[in-house]
Amino acid sequence: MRNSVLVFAALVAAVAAGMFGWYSVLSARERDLTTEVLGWEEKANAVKILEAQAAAEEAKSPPIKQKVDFIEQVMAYNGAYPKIYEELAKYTYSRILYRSIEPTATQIKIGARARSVGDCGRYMLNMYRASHILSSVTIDAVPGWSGGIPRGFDFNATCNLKTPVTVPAYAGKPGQPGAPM
Amino acid sequence: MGSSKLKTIHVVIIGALACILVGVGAYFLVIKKKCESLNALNGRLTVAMDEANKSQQMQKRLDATIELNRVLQIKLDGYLRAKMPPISFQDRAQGMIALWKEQVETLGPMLKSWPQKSGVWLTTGVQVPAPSADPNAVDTSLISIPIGSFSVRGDFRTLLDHLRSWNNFNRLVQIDVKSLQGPSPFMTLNYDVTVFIFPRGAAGQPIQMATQTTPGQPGAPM
Repeated sequence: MRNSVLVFAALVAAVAAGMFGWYSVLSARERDLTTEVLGWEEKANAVKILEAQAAAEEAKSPPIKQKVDFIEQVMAYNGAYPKIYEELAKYTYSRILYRSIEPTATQIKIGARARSVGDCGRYMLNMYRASHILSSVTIDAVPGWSGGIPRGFDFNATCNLKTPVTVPAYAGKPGQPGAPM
Repeated sequence: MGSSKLKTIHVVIIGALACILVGVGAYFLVIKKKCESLNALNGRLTVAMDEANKSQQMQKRLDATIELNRVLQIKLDGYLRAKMPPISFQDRAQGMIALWKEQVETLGPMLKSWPQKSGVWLTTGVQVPAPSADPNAVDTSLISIPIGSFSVRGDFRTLLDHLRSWNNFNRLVQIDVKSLQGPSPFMTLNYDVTVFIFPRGAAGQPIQMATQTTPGQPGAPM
């Protein structure tokens, strides 16, 4: 009986000691982990500061880029029509006389004079080959027969541009999409 | 103990219960909290490690953005030096006066002499519209000055070179080609010209003295 009491008293003490030991181990682990966490959190905070700096730098880019883009778009726009005119000249049959060329964003309207329907046809066939700049070419009319072969006639050609010429727009202007408020 | 009613079995049961009570009590009162605290710390550690491991990636992002901004700024500064007068609206009144000088005195002669420099004849007059007299009304993000129609004469090649030459003009101009007429070498090219100016820096506060007030409004003269 007495022995049993002693055994169980020792057992309770052992359980309590075990629990205390476990608690000590956990506490030590907690201390180590806290130190480790604080170290990593310090690093994470440094990364957050870097992230904020990157975001601040990124916010500076659009206003500068919008200005640079606009200037470059205007310069490209200025060069677009001379390029189209040069290409048109390459594909224009030499016996065709141009009276006027009126460009829009999507079309080139040409007023021209041909000496014969053959010249006009040759001109049209040539223009059909300019498929890298034009998507379609139409002419309004050729003359009919009215008692004799016509000695030249005027016609209008409408050439649709394959790539429309876009008028530059400054994205940073207030009211434009993406513009600063 | 001899008179005690406690028997060995009772001691065993009480002892076992005491062991369980001490173990379970200690677990729920102390150990469980410690475990929860450790789990929370582990969670914080995982989050912090994930974040901290982005350090190199973030540094690269920052460096790349700084470099991009530097390149863009150099490019923009080059364009501003070459193509824009140094007008700033940080002081709106000073900015407006600089714009007056630009529009009234500088721009007209420059525009008028440019076609001749590129070998074509200007057959129309050049008129620069009057600038705004209200410093608060000037668009300080981008100043757009519509000059109007130009008509120039020359041969086909010279006219095209002339159109391209506007990109070398020391103001930013947009050329809207309207028509090309007549046979070469006596062709006439018609186009519209618009001048653009980016003011330097941010605009300052509107000038109160330049703001019109109507009688009856707060602050208006009686």
